[in-house]
Amino acid sequence: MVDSTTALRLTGVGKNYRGFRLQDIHLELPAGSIMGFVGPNGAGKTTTIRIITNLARPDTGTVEVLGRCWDAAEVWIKNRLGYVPESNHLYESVTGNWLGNFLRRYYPTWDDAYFRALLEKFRVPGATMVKNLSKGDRAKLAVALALAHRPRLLILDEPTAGVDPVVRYTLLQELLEVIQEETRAVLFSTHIVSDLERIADLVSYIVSGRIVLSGEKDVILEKWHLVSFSLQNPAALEQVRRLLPYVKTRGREGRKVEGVTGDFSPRLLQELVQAADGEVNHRPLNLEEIMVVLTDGNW
Amino acid sequence: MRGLIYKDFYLLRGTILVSIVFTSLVSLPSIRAGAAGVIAAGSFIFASLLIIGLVSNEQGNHTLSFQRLLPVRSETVVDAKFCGLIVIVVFSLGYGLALAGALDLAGLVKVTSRQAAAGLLLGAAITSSVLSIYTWLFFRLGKQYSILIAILIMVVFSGEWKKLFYLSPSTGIGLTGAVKVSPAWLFFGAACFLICLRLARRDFSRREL
Ligand SMILES: Nc1ncnc2c1ncn2[C@@H]1O[C@H](COP(=O)(O)OP(=O)(O)O)[C@@H](O)[C@H]1O
Ligand SMILES: [Mg+2]
Repeated sequence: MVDSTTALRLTGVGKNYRGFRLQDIHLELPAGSIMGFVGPNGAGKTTTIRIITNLARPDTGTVEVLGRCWDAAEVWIKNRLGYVPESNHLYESVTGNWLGNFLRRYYPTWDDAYFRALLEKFRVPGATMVKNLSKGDRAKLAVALALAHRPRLLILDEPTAGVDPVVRYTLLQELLEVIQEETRAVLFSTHIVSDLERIADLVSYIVSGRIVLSGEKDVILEKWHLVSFSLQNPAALEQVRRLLPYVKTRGREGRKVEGVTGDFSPRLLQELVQAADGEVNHRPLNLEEIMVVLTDGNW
Repeated sequence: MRGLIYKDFYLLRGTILVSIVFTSLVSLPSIRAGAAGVIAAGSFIFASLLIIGLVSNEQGNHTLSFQRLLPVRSETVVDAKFCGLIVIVVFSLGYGLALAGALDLAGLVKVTSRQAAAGLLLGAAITSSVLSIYTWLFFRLGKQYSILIAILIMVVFSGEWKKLFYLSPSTGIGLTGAVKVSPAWLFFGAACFLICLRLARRDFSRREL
């Protein structure tokens, strides 16, 4: 059966904590796509994910998972949801195999052969107690346990956090392979933006509890450019500020301009050329640079 | 739900023997309260250790969020713990009886049917009421708070516990041996159990993890 429902839809979700406010979160993840959920530490990624997984209640707004609401379809959603939380959520004094057997009783769609294949692929020893596994192996075990019932929506909260760069790379590579094997929706939160460069179809940036940018990764990478040029005269700065949302000046009389646009086009370039003294240099930004622009107050 | 209950006892596997030995030692002073005191005190202490162990299996909020995401209603997670509590109460009453029997063989107490009945009733009532409250608080507040409150209850009511389990100040004989056996105690224990189960189901499905 072709499934055309939206895997995840958040509408106007908000949550108040003392000292932190999650505000007006809108997210839409179509079935079969991978969304990178990016933001600095403390931006509200985990809080949003806890709301999606019904571990926390939103103060405002609605959450729809696979087209249904938690109140009406709790068990139905849980059957189709895979979740790897930020911190280890597994019992320490049991083995990975034991946990697999435990979950097998609960998920009708549990695929034990697939679970064993994943452990093998990730090279996680299934007969070792969780407490004796390395951090990377725990993360991989958690991913294998979350995938083995073949969830239609997989949520990963910083699966690569706290794992050293080498393990991170292999974990990501392996994750990429298994995620892409099937058409399932994935929400992947991280503050390490380079993780997403390869795997995400969509990217949402969250900063201080608000979504500041959300869209298709390729479009974002195409539209976000850094431009630099010298001004013809100081008065032209006014016009440049109208054209570019992010502008920095330096040099004598602030003649040297650096700017960032999220809507680059040949036409914009032409308009900038008119204000510039000489050439206008420009290059696309990567996801990490975009995050810095969105987060850093200097821009 | 069976899987959840089994999981709890599987995780407890390392501590059962230690609990038996510890309880046997701690319950010895209740010999002065006669067989009924031994049964009631022994089963209560043993059950407390087991239920604290059962709850301590949960590592902070993390394993609770793991269970909240299992494809069962979140109330089922609570039901499983309370079923585990029933198993523990029954098991610990059996243990209390066995302990009294062993002390009888050693000539330290005399187990009569009246004493056994009084001990079992009192043990069942106290164990199921106090530990139900404890389990509910665990689901409502988390294990740190519930253990703290349990210790507080122990300390505040230490005089009362002594009177119940150990000796009557006036006669020197075990108070429980002299107390009239009343099935009302069981109703009290069962009522506490049901009320706490209800509260825990409500609180756990609302709790943010
Ligand atoms: N249960 C809570 N009570 C109070 N504040 C919280 C709670 N959970 C998260 N916060 C606050 O919300 C902010 C965002 O946290 P979080 O969602 O974990 O960010 P991220 O996952 O993006 O690093 C933090 O400042 C944190 O202190
Ligand atoms: Mg986080």
